[in-house]
Amino acid sequence: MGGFLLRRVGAALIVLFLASVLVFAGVRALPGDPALALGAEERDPAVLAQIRHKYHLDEPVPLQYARWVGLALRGDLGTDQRELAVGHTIVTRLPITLELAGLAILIGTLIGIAAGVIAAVRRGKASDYGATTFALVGLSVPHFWLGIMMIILFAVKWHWLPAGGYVPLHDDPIQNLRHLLMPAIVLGTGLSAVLMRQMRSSMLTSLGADYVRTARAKGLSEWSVVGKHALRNSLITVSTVIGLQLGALISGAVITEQIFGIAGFGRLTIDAVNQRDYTLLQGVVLVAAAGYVVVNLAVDLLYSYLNPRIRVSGRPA
Amino acid sequence: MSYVDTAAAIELSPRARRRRLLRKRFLRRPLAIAGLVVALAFVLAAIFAPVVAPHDPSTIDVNALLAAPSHEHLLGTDELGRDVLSRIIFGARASIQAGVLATLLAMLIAVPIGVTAGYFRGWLDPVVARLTDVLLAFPFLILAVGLAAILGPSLLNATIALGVGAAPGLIRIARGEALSLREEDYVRAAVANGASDASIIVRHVLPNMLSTLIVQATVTIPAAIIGEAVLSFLGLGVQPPTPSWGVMLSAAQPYVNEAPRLALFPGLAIFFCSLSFNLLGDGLRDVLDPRTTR
Amino acid sequence: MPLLEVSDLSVRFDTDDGPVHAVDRLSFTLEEGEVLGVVGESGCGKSVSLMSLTQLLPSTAHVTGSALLADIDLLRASSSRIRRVRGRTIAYVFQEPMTSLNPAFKIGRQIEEVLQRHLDLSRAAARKRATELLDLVRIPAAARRINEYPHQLSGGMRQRVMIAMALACDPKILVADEPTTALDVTIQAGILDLMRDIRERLGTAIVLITHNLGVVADIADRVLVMYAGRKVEEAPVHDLFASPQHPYTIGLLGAVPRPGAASTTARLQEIPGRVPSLAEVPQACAFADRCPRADDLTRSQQPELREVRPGHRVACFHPGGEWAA
Repeated sequence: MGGFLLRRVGAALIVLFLASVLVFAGVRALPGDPALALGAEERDPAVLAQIRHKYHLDEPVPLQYARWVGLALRGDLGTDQRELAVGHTIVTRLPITLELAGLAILIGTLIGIAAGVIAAVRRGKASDYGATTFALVGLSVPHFWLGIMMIILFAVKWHWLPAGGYVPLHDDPIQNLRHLLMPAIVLGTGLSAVLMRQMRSSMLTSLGADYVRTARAKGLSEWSVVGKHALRNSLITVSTVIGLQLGALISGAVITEQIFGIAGFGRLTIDAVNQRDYTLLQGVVLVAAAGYVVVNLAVDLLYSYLNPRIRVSGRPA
Repeated sequence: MSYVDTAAAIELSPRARRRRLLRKRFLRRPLAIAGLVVALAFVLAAIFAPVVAPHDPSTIDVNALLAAPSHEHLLGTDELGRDVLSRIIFGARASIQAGVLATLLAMLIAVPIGVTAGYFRGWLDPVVARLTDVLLAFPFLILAVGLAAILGPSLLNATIALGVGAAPGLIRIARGEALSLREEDYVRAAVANGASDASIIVRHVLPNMLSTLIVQATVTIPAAIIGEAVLSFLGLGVQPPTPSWGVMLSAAQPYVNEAPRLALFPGLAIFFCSLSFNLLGDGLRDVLDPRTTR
Repeated sequence: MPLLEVSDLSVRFDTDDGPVHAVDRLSFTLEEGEVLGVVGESGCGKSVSLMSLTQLLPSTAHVTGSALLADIDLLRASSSRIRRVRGRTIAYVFQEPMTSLNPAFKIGRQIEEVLQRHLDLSRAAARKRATELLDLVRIPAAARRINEYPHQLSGGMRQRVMIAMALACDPKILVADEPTTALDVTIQAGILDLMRDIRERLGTAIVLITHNLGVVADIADRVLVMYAGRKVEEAPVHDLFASPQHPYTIGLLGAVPRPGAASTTARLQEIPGRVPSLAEVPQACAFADRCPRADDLTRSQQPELREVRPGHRVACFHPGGEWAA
């Protein structure tokens, strides 16, 4: 088990390293002269040259990369256009997105798993078709449009919920939740749709398995058979899917925050791209990629723990 | 009455028989048929837009700004007096083009790379696996947005960005299929009979991957369509005044109070288009699954 | 009074391609402590008929007839009632030990589950009993193994665990559906020994479903031969092997290679043809198409069961003798 862990972590680190290179190169590839962006209104070549020198933009690219990584490992992601520490900006905005993502995951998994189990248990009946349709709709609907529609209905027309903005949790929990409810539902819909289908498919496999027949033959109640025996195996399979969906959640958060006017981490990405603020953009995308890698590693380890075959013998059957 | 089962001699070749079976199975699925019909409708509307659309999508009519739906303008007009319905029909061009071409591009990149890595293994395989892992660390849309930002805003660049963004996921799938197919007995038999790698890939591996690839394609198209909408919405794809569903949605935002339908209709178009492809893809997956009994 | 009395049991499945009559008016009895062998080819209805006794068939199955255990008609019992019978009075051991155990739970837990459900034992008491059961089925180092997962055990051991699980509540009837088919021949012998042991020590009645006549000869008291969903012959085991009456049984016995037989160069008897489709139940002997004795009579009427010797019944118009009449 230890060797397995080590290998997984090692692979994650390699991926992280390569991702950082990709981020750095990608940002450098953006059109436009960074010096111009950094210099605001300046057009004087001499001043621009000074700016370039100040930000090390005249050095060879690999050296710039090394410098950046070195600082990043020490927690210093540089300063952005407005002379604010990138690290600090990220740290203040990240919790907002994390809360949003957390709520979305909560909503998404609860609905998705419940719907999937129901659809599998009542296969072929009305609730199955209903749940499957719901999942299909959830997959096909463009989430930013869903957000706009929800704003129109719940905020503009009926005035039930605020149209956007954010209130910190410690300031006013109720308002906080009211502001995050719609965005969380919008974000969670996609996740719940994917999970529902996976869960249904996985449960159908489990319910058709021999060990379920054994469980019934032992005289266990249907609750036990479905909720304990079948579900346990299905959850194990589905847990990997949740990890994979987190990526979609991140990109969804970017757009959702844009629509609902939430000043979170996702919004930061768009702002950085629009303002051509490279230092900020680098830091933001790196943190996002790192977060994704870490979460996937965690899901991987969780799966290994849950799957007895790997937990006990250190490798899959 | 005799018990003996006489299977009527069927004159069709195995391939034709299989195709007939698949067609029968497909026809038993009304949802999949609906998906096919609607998707086809969208595609045809896009191709024949100039014929189908009642008005020219760029004609500005200052006398009918933000007009409500009427006989003349079935879905009303937008903030510049242009017919919404016609813009949606022409917008289908951008979306479907992006969706289909991006998927095609992704397949053209992913299948050769994935199959080569999965089949030959060797040194290429771990490299490809790591690289795809890295690329998959960035969500599809983020990759597409990034690429589109680098390439500059235009429909073509958006299509390329979407295609390249969708490729890593498909590489992983193609590689996985090739990996498992090379262990199949008939492949081993072919190797033992001295068949060349190229012929094995062409005659055994690719045809057996075909159903998976078809299903993946029908599922990638809606993702690419939505992706195009997102890119245009963010200003990274089609530029106004060219109609695109994403552009229309972005332009509708300031008018959310007075004319919410400006946001409603393009979104519905995206929704139904994407839904139809998803239904089709679902149906195909079901039909092509060897375990399906009906 | 027999322990179990099954009368006119019929099972019909409604499939997309029409109804399939898996079992056609099957009747048999089972005495306390008796080992009944049920023999037949795949698809002859043996598993389906035994599964129907505790309503374990899917909802597409329509079951008619009666199955009396003590004073309960198992086929008509309510779900809560039948759940109390399952595992407690009638227990099953299935063919595939690899997949019949839940891979996500430790084997101890899976055995304790039955004990807690039916006997209301505490966790500790259940654990103790589970260890005893593992000892009973001769699994070495039971106290350690109890905490292991199914994938850590070999096929033979998994089957023993299945048997332990089935015996947990001391059931009156143990239904073993092809318990040794998926196992190596050497392991088979061990499992059969175990079953013999169980019958002697615990007095459990055993219904052994198999297509392997060797297994039947080994431990059964009585044998029931099924073909195309019907019972075609029934006899005490020695009688069946000494003088089989139904052509199908004769054919089966002729198809078994016997070491030291009179002639080792003679061909094994094959039964030509295939099992008929179960979609129709026409008026004819089910075996007519493959039977060398078939004539107009057998092709137009269904033979009923007749007793040709005490305890030996056969459904045939031309019973007895060699394969080709």
